[in-house]
Formats: sequence, structure tokens, C-alpha cells
Amino acid sequence: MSSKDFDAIIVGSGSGGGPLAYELSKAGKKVAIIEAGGFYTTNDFNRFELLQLRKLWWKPRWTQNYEIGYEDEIGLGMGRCVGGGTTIFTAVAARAPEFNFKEWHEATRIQNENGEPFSQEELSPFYDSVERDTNVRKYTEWDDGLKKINTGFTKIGHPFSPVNAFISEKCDQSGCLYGCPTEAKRGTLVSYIIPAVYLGAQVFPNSTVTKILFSRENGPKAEGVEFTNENGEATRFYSKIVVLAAGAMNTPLILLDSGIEEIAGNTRSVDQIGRNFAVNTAAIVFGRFEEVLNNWLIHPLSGHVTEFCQKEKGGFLLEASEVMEGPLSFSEVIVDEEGIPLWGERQKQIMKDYRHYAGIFINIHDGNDGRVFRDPDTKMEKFHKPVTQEDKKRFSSARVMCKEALLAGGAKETLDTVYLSHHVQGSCRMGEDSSRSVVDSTCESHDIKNLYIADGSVIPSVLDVNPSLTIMAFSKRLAKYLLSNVLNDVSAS
Amino acid sequence: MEGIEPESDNPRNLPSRKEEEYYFLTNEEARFFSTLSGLIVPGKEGEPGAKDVGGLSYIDSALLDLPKIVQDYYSGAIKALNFLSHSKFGNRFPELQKSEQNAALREFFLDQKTREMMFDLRSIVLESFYSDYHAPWYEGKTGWEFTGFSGKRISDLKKDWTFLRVWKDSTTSSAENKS
Repeated sequence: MSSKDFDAIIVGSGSGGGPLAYELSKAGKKVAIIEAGGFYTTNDFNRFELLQLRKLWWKPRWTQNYEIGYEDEIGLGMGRCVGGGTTIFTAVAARAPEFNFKEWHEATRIQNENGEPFSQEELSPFYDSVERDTNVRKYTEWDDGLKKINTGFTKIGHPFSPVNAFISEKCDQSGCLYGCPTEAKRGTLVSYIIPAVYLGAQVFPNSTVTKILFSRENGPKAEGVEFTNENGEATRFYSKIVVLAAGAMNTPLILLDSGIEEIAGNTRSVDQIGRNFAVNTAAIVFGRFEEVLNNWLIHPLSGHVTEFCQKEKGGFLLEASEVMEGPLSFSEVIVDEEGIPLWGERQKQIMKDYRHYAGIFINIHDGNDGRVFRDPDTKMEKFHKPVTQEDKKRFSSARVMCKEALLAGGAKETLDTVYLSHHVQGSCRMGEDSSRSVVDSTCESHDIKNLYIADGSVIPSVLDVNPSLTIMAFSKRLAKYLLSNVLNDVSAS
Repeated sequence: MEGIEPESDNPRNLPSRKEEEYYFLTNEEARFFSTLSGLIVPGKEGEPGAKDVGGLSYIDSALLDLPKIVQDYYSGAIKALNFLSHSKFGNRFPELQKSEQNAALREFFLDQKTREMMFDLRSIVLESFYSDYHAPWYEGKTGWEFTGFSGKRISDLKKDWTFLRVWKDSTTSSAENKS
């Protein structure tokens, strides 16, 4: 009988934590899932935008790029609830293109178990498995907004095609960003966490991990976590392994707050924690049409143009249609011609026409040039992610194309937004080169045994499609590795 | 509901509250938000604005529920913007002419050191209207009606405002202040 409380403690329940929790629980392992957000389920989700923003989302956190001499900031909007980002995402399920795998190997020397460069083929069975679990299918029920946008893009020679989505046929198009009220959206909450709970996993919601617990016996090892539970009490759990899946903004902070440098020494890989942060910097171009579209009554991103994804071909991904699913979020992001957030009479007139807008989401191939860290003096969390001249060129090309297509599709005018992101990644990369990564190709820390990372942090270089499916596939891969090599003894339970 | 003329500042003597007082806001902060609300979501004949729907009571209640570090951030932001208004335009923000107030907002958005603060202050004012909030006594058009936001799972939504200590849902006509 092990003296450990759990076989595995998983910090976070989104794309990274969900599949892993399920697979380990299914294998009879004793699993604790510690989640900073609340445990809400289908019956809690409705279209009360303000309340759902409070319940399910982190308050937007902004970059502080002005500190490093860049003028533009990015609003980083993430999920904070059981299911993480997958409870509030738009459910686009995209496999990483082959060229991303090559870039990953170049970035960190990520490899397979035979020591060969890690390839798409390596991840395919895990993609297959996640797609089966989550009902991934082509989403062809396009709304009027997307049809109009596609008319314009077809005229300029770049038609949209349907996305693959984590959405079953039950979808009645009543919203994604504030939780799915029908369970049609198959995020980790419904596909993995609740099934894991039925298999014995324990979820600790509203609980914030303050540090990882280490032992020094026979080299540095993770042996548990300390966290503040939902009653505000400091609590310690011990386990055979600790897996951080708190997202690319939180995972590096947990590592840094845990004093990893003290236990592991000032190694090259410790120095990599929080570096190489990428976000797929995004913006939206909205078009105002004469017709009433009521474009919030949709699955928001049903179609895409992928031909410009690769950095050499433009470096931007276009997805549509998007109108933020509610007037409050829409009012917050829209800007004037100089990029200044709108207010006053002009904004009100735009809001009066809210029913007439449909938009295109632009995600660019940005660089792994950001950083997540804690200010040494104030201890405040900090996010640097420059919007470079190269980034601006990509946005400029994409915006010109979107505006041309919107006008060709019948829009009367167009509107821009602030920079934003929902695709944080890269801040604790995986790879064999420990001077450029934090975890190895199995996702175990280079420095601390029994410490793993399973979220978007590990993506070695910026992914050019929506990251959820890839993070879930890596999570499944980690589960297989752990069950074969680490947790293959008799369960603590 | 204005209650912004200070006889004395209203320190954080929570949670007691009278009609013209605030759960959280000091009179100076209330004056700032009242001015800001009139600029961000202005009202006019036949078109409600944030002040018309009683948005100041929303802001007051919303700030009350935030962690102290965030409350301090908002209070600090107001102080900082009043200070900058005074140093750049010769008066605190609420006392500026309307054209100067708009010019000040523009400067605050352009200045990287105040941009995030300004965005957050603007956001809470936008919330006080476009979230569909309206004070219990208000019977006119709301933010969602103004924008035409409606449809399945929206039009029949009972919005529970109890988390703001203001009132219970959008179909209730009387106040349920839980002070």
C-alpha cells in the first residue's frame, strides 16, 4: 500500500487535464483534479453574458508589452472552470498541419520513442482517439453571416470550407462561449471529466495550487501539491506523479512560485520556464450588412480559410462567423480607425446595429517571443508578447483581404477590434534540447522526476491552427506513456 | 440615485446603504463613474444610456464583490486619472468640460501606462448597460432591447441579479436590496 494520497494529481481540467484524467481513471488509478475555477454543468449554462463571463472566464489579462518597448497590447481571454477553455471555446477541432511538426523538431528536437523526429504520424492515433471520444465532425450548418462572408471570399477566389468541430448533431446553435446548454459541444467537461468522476476521479474546484511539493531523496522529485481549497484552507495532497495542465499562462507561474530553481539549480531548462510564449495573436474584422443577421444564434466559427496558415504563405488563419455571442463583449472589443476602443455616440450607433454584424476571426502565426513571469518586486504576474512589425504585416494583409471580401459579400462598412488571444502556448516547451525546452519528449520535466506538463505550454513552436485537439492528443499520449512506464504498478487505490 | 454631491466622503462603512449612498464607492468615485457613464454610454431622448438605467448602482455593487486587491486597483485608477486630468487639463476629470473629458479619455487610451486602467473602467461602465442591467425602479428600454439582442434562450431568460445584492430578476418590479 502506497503512502501516497493519489496516483496522480492533475492541476487543471481543460484540454490537457481532461483526457489524461479520464484515461488514468479508466485504468483504475486514483486521480485528483485540482481546478481553479468552479464546477458548473450543463444546467448552469445560459445566455446571461455577464454572469457567465464571471463564472466561466478569467477576467481578461493583458500583456504589458510597453515595458519592453512595444506599443500594442493583447487581451488574453481564457476559461476558468471545470473543463477549462473547452467549456467556453468555439469547438474547432483541427489537427496540426505537417509543416508544424517539422517546425517543432527544429525548435526543440522533439522526438519519438525511437529517437526520430516527432511526426504527424506519431500523433495520429491519439488524434483519432480524441476525435472518436468527442464526436468530431464537419460542421456544415452555416448561418446567414457566414454565407454572406463566404459569398465575398468566393468572389475574391478564397472560399471558406467547413471546420471540423467537437460538436454532435444535437447542436441547436444556442451558444458556445458561455457553456453549451445542450451538451452538443463535447469539451472535456462532458467527454472526459464527468466520465472520469464516474470512474472514481475526485475533482477539487475553486482550488488554487500555490506550490508543488518536492523531495530531494535520490534526486529532486515532485511528490504532491499545496493548494488553497474552496473553503480558503491551505491543503496538501501527495501523489506518485504531479501533472501541470493549468494552461500556458498559469503553469509556468506555478513552477516559478514553487521554487523550482532552488531544488533543481539554475539549469538551462529551468531558465526556459515561461519563455517562448506564443498566443496566435488575433483580431476580428466585422462587417455591417443591411439584412438582420442575428449572428449570435450560431455556432460561432463554422468555416475557415486555411490556405494562408503557413508562415511562408501569409501566416494567418481566417475563421467565421463571429459576433462575440453577446452585446457586452462586442462593445468591449471594437475600436476606431486608430485602434482606440470606441465609446460614446459612435459606439452606440454601432451597437444599435448589432443585429447586422458578422465577423471574421484572424489568428496569425506569431513568434515564440513572449514570456510569462512574476515581477520580482511586486510579485504580480506579467505577460510579455510583442506584436512585432512582422505580426502587423500579417494582420495588414489579412485585414485587407477580409475587408475586400466583406464588401464584395454585401457589407456596408467594416470595423476592427483590439488584439486578443485564446490560444496561449509554448511557455514550457517539450523537446530533447534542454537549453530550449522545459520538459522532454514524454512531457516529463528535465529537472524534476515525476513532474509532467500536459497543456499548451509544451507546444514547441507556434501552432497554426486552433490548439485544443492537439493538446488533447498530447494528453492521451502522455496517459499511454504513464500507464506503460510510470504507473504500471498496483494502484494506490 | 445620483447621490454624488459630497457632504463628506463615504468611507467603506459596509454594508449599510441608503438610497443615495453606495455600498462601496466613495462620493468622489461615484462622481467619476457618473461622469464616465455619461460619456461612454450617453443617453438622449428616446435612447437610454448607462446613467438612465441606473448603471451606477450596478458599478457600486459589482466593485463591492471584488477582491480587495482589485477594489484597490479601481480606486487607484480613478485617483490616477483624476490626477492626470488635473495635471494635463487643469481640473479633475468630472470637472472638465465635455470636450476636454473626451480628449482626456483619448489620451488615457493612447498612453500605454493608463491604457489598461482606462479599458477596465470603460468595461465596467459597458457592463452596466450592455449586460441588460437596469435598476429595479427603471421601466424603460434596456441595453438588450436597445441592441435588439434576442432569440431562443435569450428572450425568456430570467436574469438573476442577486449576486449584485441589487435585485433578483428582470421580471421583478420591486427592489430586493439585501443590505
